[in-house]
Amino acid sequence: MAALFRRKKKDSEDDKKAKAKKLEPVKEPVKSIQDLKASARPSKLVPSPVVDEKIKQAVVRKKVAASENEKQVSAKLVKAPPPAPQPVYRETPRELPDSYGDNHIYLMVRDPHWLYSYWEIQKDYHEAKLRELGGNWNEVNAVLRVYDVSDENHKTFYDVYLHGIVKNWYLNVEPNHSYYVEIGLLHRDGRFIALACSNRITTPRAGMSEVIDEHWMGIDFDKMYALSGGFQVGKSSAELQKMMEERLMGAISSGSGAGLLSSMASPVKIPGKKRGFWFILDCELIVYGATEPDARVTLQGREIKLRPDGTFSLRFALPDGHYVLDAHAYSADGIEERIITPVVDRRTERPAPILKPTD
Amino acid sequence: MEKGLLSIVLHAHLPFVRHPEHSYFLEENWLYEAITETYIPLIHMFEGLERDRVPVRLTMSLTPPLISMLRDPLLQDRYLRHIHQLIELAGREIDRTRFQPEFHETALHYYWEFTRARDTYLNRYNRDIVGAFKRFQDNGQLEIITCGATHGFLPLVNRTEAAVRGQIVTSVRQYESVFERKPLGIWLPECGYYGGVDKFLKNVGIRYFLTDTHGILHASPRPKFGVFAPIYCPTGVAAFGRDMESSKQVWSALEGYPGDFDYRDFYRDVGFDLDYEYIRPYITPDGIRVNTGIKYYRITGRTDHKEPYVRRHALEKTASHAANFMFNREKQSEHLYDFMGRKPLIVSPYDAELYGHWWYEGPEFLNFLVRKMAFDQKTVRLVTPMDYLRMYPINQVSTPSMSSWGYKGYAETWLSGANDWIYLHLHKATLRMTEMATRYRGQDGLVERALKQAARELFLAQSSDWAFIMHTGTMVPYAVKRTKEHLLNFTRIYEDLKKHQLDANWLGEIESRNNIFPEVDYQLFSE
Repeated sequence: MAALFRRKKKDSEDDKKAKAKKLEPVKEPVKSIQDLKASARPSKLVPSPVVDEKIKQAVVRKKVAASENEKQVSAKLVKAPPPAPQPVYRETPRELPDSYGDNHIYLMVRDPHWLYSYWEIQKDYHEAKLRELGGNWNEVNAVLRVYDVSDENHKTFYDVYLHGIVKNWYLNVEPNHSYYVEIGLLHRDGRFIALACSNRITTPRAGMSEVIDEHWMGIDFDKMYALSGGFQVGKSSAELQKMMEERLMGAISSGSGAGLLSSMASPVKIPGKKRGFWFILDCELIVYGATEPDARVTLQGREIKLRPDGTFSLRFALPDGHYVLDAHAYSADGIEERIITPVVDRRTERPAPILKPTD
Repeated sequence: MEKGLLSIVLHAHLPFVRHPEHSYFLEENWLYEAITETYIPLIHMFEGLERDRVPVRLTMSLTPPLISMLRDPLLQDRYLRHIHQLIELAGREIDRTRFQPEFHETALHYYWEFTRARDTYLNRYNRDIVGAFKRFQDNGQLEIITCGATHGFLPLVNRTEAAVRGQIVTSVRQYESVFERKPLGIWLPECGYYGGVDKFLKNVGIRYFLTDTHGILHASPRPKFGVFAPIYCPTGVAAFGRDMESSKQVWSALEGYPGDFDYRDFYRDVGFDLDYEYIRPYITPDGIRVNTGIKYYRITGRTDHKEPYVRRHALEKTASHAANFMFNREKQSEHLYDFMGRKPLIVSPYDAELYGHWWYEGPEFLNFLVRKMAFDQKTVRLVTPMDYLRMYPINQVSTPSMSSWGYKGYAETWLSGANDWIYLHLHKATLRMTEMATRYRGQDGLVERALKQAARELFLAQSSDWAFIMHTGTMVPYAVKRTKEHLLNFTRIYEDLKKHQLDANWLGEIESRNNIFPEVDYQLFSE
């Protein structure tokens, strides 16, 4: 049946604002593995100015709403007492600092294949270290020297060249390995000086452990793993395909987030297909009137609540049909009854759409 | 004798959102909606089970920010204002749908639900939702576990041991004072486990925590029973892993129960659908359309066209889904029992808000499930993780893998292009907190107040919710604002303290606003 209700696609300004505020779970866009890896690029330290602007707007809007309430309240006060003398008021800064004046580097684990590192190196320290190394700026590169210390007896490293002014980096690494990182200057001739050294971390495994505990043997591990759903993280391509699809749509693996901050695609929201021009219309009926404040009024036998001044109004959705709206008013002393009966018909014609010919 | 055990765990959490500086604040609605659609219906479920003497053992985590908000008088007042508005709207809806029988019944349903919610909240529990759940724990129906103080994602927040200790000890202390007992289990925020976090759990006497499936499956040495039995970390704290099959049946956007076509559609809310003048009093005071909670349509299909919701049909479906879920757990248990030689434990954790808020019929599903399990079969029994440990105190020792139950299973949700900028600042604040706590031992007066508030601001900045929102892109400006605000407040306290220039007025202001953990112990951060 035809619905009164507005469609989501053609948003009015109100709806657009509402959308911005709505608790709408967002579906993760489908990505290929390449895209996922590519998207893990080094990022800027501070959020974009656009975000700041939006924050300011959101904060301002709230403040305006609040201050309007306050205006209404204060308008009612007859006399406000004079304000007490204020101590010197210091504004809390609005932006986080660019730097804290440290020289350090820190390493974090994101998943079996990715690390994240951020650092701060002060200009004067940088220059002092360069002097120590010997050489000038166009002979050196800033690098991250990544040490793999998984095997105590065989430490290896590789260098990642840092381009431009970066303060953080995502590193692609091996699962179940241990690493630490130095940020430093690498001279053309191969000499290296470290500016800072990071903490040491270990990446998690990407699959089953190779270690089997003698005390707890005697069971088919592979079958147990499969029954636990483990092989869905690995092997069969057709199944994997389906699993990846579901994962990417935020389906199974994402347990987190059905709290009201959900990222999970709600069971409901399916992307709408492309639709052409549309138009809906519906009718509501408002019935209003007045009588003595102490009277009793019914409409179609159901009692209506009067306002303190004896007026009333009712609003109904009005589908197609024939409506006899007998309204009875009874005086408070029970002696008199008056009846008014509007009769309403609604009928809706919906001819076929008219298409103008295009030349 | 049963062949399998089922542990359903509901994780109830909301970030701390409290804005006394505004008379209306949109994001506070998360709390009011959850109370109306999830927590009160769950209370009704437990009451019904108690009345009908249905055996039940469920597990629930109630996080400290949620507990703080539920007990806060200002937010309690605002909830009553919210539910009164809803009742008024529902009343008008009954009138408005008088000539629309396909909607009228649903309108009556909402009026009934909202008035019942208000009665439960105000008259029967005197606004004390937490007290209600405490009662269910005390009478043996429910095991309540704790969480991190502000749901900080521990694998990323652990710049110092003190930071992790702060999150865990603070929650345990709040738990003890609220529930009058010690917590036996913990829901690590986002199931975020990293090697070594169990040490902190052991120090406060916690016996178990939960991880995602691969946290157990990829443990080392290999767990003999896969995910169907817990493992003991070398410290002796037990780790329970999520079962994928039972999760999928409820969570999956493609195949899960909540997507059934007879269930209520979340998006067709009268806040958006109805005439603006009519709905104006029930949306935001600025006139922005938002969800009200009154929705008249069912999912109907993979289509934009929606049919009217018929509650009777939805409940029939709910009952059949509960039967289906139970049947699957029976089959799963029988199969595993023969293979394992020990009763398998199926652990099914969910966000509590899934039941009722996102999946409107969710609480009825749980209700039917518990009752059917009690009376319609004997293969699977409901237990809590602690019940299992009492039954099977001997378990394999193994170290779980770093993991989370977030998208893709690790830390990406909270450490990606959208939110990685946070950590430089958060970690710096963490180091400074330890610096202050170590330097200023045994303070009182204004300095003590400042240190306590610094701890609060740091806790609030550590909430994983902000990074989560930034990553998923839903209400990013608010999340960014909160992160910055708390970090800036913290930094200002730090700098004022160093210069011996504490501003008592300003401090009083933020104390009254960010008032979580009144008895916070800043000395937890000293090292």
